[in-house]
Formats: sequence, structure tokens, C-alpha cells
Amino acid sequence: MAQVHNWQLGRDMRYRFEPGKPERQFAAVFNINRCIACQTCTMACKSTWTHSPGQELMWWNNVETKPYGGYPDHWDVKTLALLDEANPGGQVWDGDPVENVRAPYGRFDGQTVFEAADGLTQEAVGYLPEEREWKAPNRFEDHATKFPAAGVSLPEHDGWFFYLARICNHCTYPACLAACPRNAIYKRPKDGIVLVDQERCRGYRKCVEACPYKKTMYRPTTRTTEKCIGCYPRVEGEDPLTQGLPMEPRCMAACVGKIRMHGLVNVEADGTWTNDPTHPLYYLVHEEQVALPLYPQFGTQPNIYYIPPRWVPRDYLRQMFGPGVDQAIERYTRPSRTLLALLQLFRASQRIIYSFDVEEGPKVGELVVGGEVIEMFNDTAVGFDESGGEIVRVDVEEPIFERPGKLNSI
Amino acid sequence: MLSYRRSRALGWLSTRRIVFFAFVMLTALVLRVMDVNPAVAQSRSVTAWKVAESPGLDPDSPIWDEITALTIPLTAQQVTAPVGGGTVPSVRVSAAHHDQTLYVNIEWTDTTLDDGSGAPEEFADAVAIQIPAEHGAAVPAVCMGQADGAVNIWQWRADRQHGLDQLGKGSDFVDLYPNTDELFYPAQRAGNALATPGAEVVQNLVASGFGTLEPASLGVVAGQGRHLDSQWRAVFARPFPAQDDFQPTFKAGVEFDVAFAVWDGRRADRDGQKSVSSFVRLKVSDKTAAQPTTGGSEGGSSTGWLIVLTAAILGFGAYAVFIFLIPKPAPSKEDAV
Ligand code: SF4
Ligand code: SF4
Repeated sequence: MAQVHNWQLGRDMRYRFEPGKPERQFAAVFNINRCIACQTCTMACKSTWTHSPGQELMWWNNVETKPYGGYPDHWDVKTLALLDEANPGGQVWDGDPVENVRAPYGRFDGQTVFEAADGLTQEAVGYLPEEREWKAPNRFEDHATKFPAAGVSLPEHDGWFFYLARICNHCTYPACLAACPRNAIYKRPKDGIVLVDQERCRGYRKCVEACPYKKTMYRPTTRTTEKCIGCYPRVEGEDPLTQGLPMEPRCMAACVGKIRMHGLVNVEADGTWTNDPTHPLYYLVHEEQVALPLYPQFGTQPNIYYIPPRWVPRDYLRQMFGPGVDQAIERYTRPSRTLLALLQLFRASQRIIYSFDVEEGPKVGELVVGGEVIEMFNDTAVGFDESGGEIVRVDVEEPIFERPGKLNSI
Repeated sequence: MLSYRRSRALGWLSTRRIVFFAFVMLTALVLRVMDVNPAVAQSRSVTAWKVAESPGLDPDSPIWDEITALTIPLTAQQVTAPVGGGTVPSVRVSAAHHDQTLYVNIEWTDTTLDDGSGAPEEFADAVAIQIPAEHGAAVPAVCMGQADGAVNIWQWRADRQHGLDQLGKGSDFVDLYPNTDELFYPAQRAGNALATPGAEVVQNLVASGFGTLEPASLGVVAGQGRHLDSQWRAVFARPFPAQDDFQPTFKAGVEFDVAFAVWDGRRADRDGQKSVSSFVRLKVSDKTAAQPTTGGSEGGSSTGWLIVLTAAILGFGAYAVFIFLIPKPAPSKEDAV
């Protein structure tokens, strides 16, 4: 048993293994405000990895409608309930968000899934969902909490729902890995991708029980557990399209709503991110703090970050993303010039962006947000590959093309 | 020492004697009812008798009726995480050998048949035999062996047997996905025996500590199980000669250490969540069993009552020695008061 630092909780915590420092860490930011639940990501993953016998209930990428939806059913509510049962009334945060890479959201005073576990029957508090719970990934899709006759308005909608796209978080302290009695799960030193060794797995499903996000899944036709592999062949540059250069996973590259920005970040031995404001993910997570981890209180230090939906009641969001929610929404609603430009880089290229730059452009207009006037500039965001070569450039103002009527053959 | 005086006064019908006699009888009775043989508790052993005909893999072969099983208690696995099991109190083990092949028949009570692993929450019933890989070396840790002491494990799993029974009988999966090949079964492609269709019912494995279980040679241990009237029976068969360095060579006239484990699928037993025994001795006898043969050193019903009688006689003997041969201490002043 080791003591490790979990920067998302702002403190050290108990974990089964000493931390290993990957060369880079697989990470991504999902902008919930943009997701349209088209499920293109879901199908991109399905048609690539889980289209075979025994994988029918398996959706490594899924998009669920919150608050009622969940795949498997109510996975988050159930895990939260287990933690609350273990530590009644004690799952609380202390402090406010500050710019500190070791404790940006203050300190979590409650118990993680590891700390609440007895260590004898379970390494991490969890449960094993039954088959029926995996069977309806779209249940409650588009269900709002209510339909107010007077309509809804910001800052918080009275009746609300939002789409939550989820994949394996390739956690820094994976619960799945800690729970495997055979050590069949490992975190790659190269990129922090968490994989199940299909030769060693004996289908005990301790990982399915332990993963608080329920992202390891049992496959009856092989009697083993499979999970999101982070499209590692693409991340390694195996796809012929990019000629050996690292490429985003399928779910990221396919995203119609352009909600996703994927990358590999540099990390320190204590699991914190290496200071690098030119990295788009570092900028979003640490500089602007607009992207937050999903249920950080679970303690696995997940690596998929979310820009929270602006219209949702804050207490719900704080439970889901921690104390950074109010600040994140505030900053996203009135974005800085850099942030606004960077948001255009989402899904602009299939190639992995390692750094970005913003070239200033002319002022193009003014917006009134919450009674405040915001100036808009047509800046240009430029994305670079690992060696500094330009991959893509995008303007804040989307170019408009009008097709001449006489060429319209439809 | 007032009681002493009283007992002298009351002679052979003293309360003390009656209580002692009752105690001996009661102890013997309790041991009998609990099926515990004090002699065997010190050195439990299963004897594999030489039999004239092969029992084959049929758990109900009449040959097994001739051999009395040894009841071996199981307890919950408490040594390493995940702990669990403990719901199957014992296994009844009988053994035989024929034509240089060892047969072990294990029976245990399980009211529910769990032979599926088709749903994410379904776990299969299973049983395993563990034998030190190297015969004659120091006995390794009973819990999965240790770095310098590997153990050979034969595991029979109900879901594998069920799967094999279904093979060739048509499968929905195949019809649904006509063009799927091995490429889309990573576990199979990676050589995971558990994921390979048509592989053996009994897995031959080796371990040298927690979490180190690995497959050993294939095609070594055969087996078959059946569930009837809340009883599982599983037969294992292995030829005497070792096929690799991770298993012992069996030989008539030689004793081996064996331990047993049972998983109850209904209770989500798997991995360390199992009911386990300690090591017992397996005597591969060079004798053909006399009629009726006894599989374990522990006897059947007649032997049981013999133990009761022996215990009673021994008890009385000890008491007689105590009463008549050991000199009484001289009464002290206080005693006389
Ligand atoms: S999300 Fe779950 S499956 Fe993925 S690394 Fe974390 S604990 Fe493991
Ligand atoms: S493809 Fe993008 S927009 Fe569509 S559901 Fe997935 S995450 Fe949402």
C-alpha cells in the first residue's frame, strides 16, 4: 500500500501501488456545452472495436442524458451512494479553487473509493452491475427534469438535462488496475493508457466491480474483461493516414459536435501536470481551469476533463465536477481571447496537437453576455505537432461560403 | 479436598465418575456426529487404491461406490485479498488408480447449479486440486505456493464443461456474425486458454504465489462433472508421468500432499473468494483395495462407531490408572477440617 498524491483532491491518498510516471499521459477535454448526442463517437468506437460476438452490451464510448440516464443504469448514483454509506455526511470539499497544480480545487475531505474499501474483499468500493443494467444505454435519453411552462433562461434552467459523453478515463490511479488480483491490468509507461492483458485475464471481474466509472466490461465469449484501449494503435501513429504521426482516437476524431480535444500531456512523478501553458489541455485544465475532472472524489484521478454545461443547477454540477464548477462556467461564459481561440481548435485535425499559439486578428464585433459587453476578435488558433510543425489553423470567425444558385444541382 | 473424601465414600458410583464417563461418551459422540476423526485430524489422508477397471471420467461410475470418501473440511480463504468463500463446508474425496492413471473424485454440496458465465454478473461453480509441483521438496504454502515452491493446480469449471457440451450444437453467435474470425477475439488471439473454444474442461495450471497463476502443459488432466440432487461431483484423471517441470510424477507406494478449493458461483465466488482446505496426504497405494474398500484413512459408519467405543475404553482405562495406580497425597490439616 502506498501514499500517492492526488492533485484533483488536493491531498495524498492511499493506493495499492507506488505511482509510476508515464512519459506522457493520455488525456482529453470534452466540452459538454457542445454535445448534441448524435452518438457518432459511440458508433465510431463500436464499429472499430466492439462489433463482435460477446460485445453486444459493450459501449466503450457512450453518451448518456443526465440526470436520469446512465450506462450502466445509474452507475454514478450507485457509487455515490456506496461512498455516502461508508462515510455518511463526510464526502465534502474544503476550500475554493486556486491556481495551484497540486490542489487547484481545494481539498477533498471525504473518502475515495480506495479509502472507503475494506482492502480484504475489495480494493475499491464498488458493485458489479447485472446484465439488464448494461442493456439500455439510451434509457432516459432527452428526458428533462421538467418542462416549465414559462420556458427556461440562464444562468440556471428550471427544467434541464445535458449529454455526458464518456470513455475510460485512463486514470492516473486506476481502480480497475488496483482491484485485479492477477495484475492483469497495466498502465502503459509510454502514454498512460490503461489496458487489460487479454492473456492474463481470467474474467474475475474484480475490475468491473471496482471501476467507479464502470468502464471495464465483461465479454462472455472469451470469458475475459475488455475495455477502451484508447485507440492506442492510432495514438502510436499506426494509422497509415498520418504517416506515423500520433493520431486522435476514433471517438475524438469522429465528433460531429466538435466537443473533444485530445492530447498527451507531460506529467511529474507525483502525478501533477508539468507546467506548460502552450499545451492546449494544460491551458484548459490548469491555466483557465474551465475543464474539470468527472467525479474527482472517486479518487482515481481521471484524465477526461469536462467543460460543465452552463445551464445546469450548480449543486448538481458541483457533485459531478467538484468545487471548480462556478469558476469554470464563469470563465467559459466570458472567455478570454486565448480561450475563445483555443475552443476553435477542438476537432480541427485528426492529428494530436502538442502545443498551440494564438495569432491576433481584428476586432469583429461585440456581444452582451449577462449584461456585460464582450469584444470579439477574429484571432487565429494554430495547432502544432510534437516537433513544432504546424498541423492546423482555425479562425474564430468561421468562414462563410455561398454557393452560386446556378450551380445548385439538387 | 472434600470432594475427594466424598468420592471415596460413594465408591464406584461417584458423581465424578459418572460425569467423566458421560463426558467421554459425549465427546466421542460429538466427534462422530461432526464426522471428525481425531486420528485423521492429525494426518488426514486420501488413499488412491489400485482398481482393476478404469473408473473413467464418469463421476457416477460404480467403482466409486466401492471406495469410501474422506470428508475434508473447507474454510473461507482469509489470507489474501480478495478474501471470501466459506459457504461450502467440506468436500468428500475419493481416489483410485488404474493403468498408471490417477483418478480423483470430489463431491460437494451445492443446492444451485451455476454453469454459466454468459452474463456479466454470472459466475460458475468450480473445484480445484492443488499439488506441490516438486514431489519431496519442502511443502510450499498452501495458498497458491511461493516463489521457491510452485504448486500444480487442476481446475474444473462448470461453465467450461457447459460450453463444451454445447459445442457443435449450433450457436446463435455464429449465425449472427458469420464472418467473425479469431482476430476479433483478442483473448483467444493472445493464447488465453480460458477464451479458446473447445479447449479442455480441466485447466492444468501452475502458481508460485498470489496472482501468479499461469497455464501449464495442455492435454494433461481430463475431467468431468455432474450436478445431481444438490451435489456436484467432478472426476479428475491424470496419467502418472509428469509432462513438465510444474507437476509431480505419481507412483504407487508414494504419498503426496493435496489441497482442495471450491467456488460457489451463485455467491459470486471467483479467484481468492473460495472455500479452501489445508494440505492432506494422498497415498497412492500399491494395493488393490479389499472389499469393501475404504478411500480415506477415515472409516465409514462402522469405523466411526469403533472410534466411539475405543475412545470410551481408553477413557475408562485412563481413569482406572488415575484412581488405582497414582498414590494419593497425604491429607493436610485443612483437608481434615
Ligand atoms: S475509468 Fe475505470 S476502467 Fe478506465 S482506467 Fe479508470 S478505473 Fe480503469
Ligand atoms: S460525436 Fe461528439 S457531439 Fe456526437 S455524441 Fe459524441 S461527443 Fe457528442
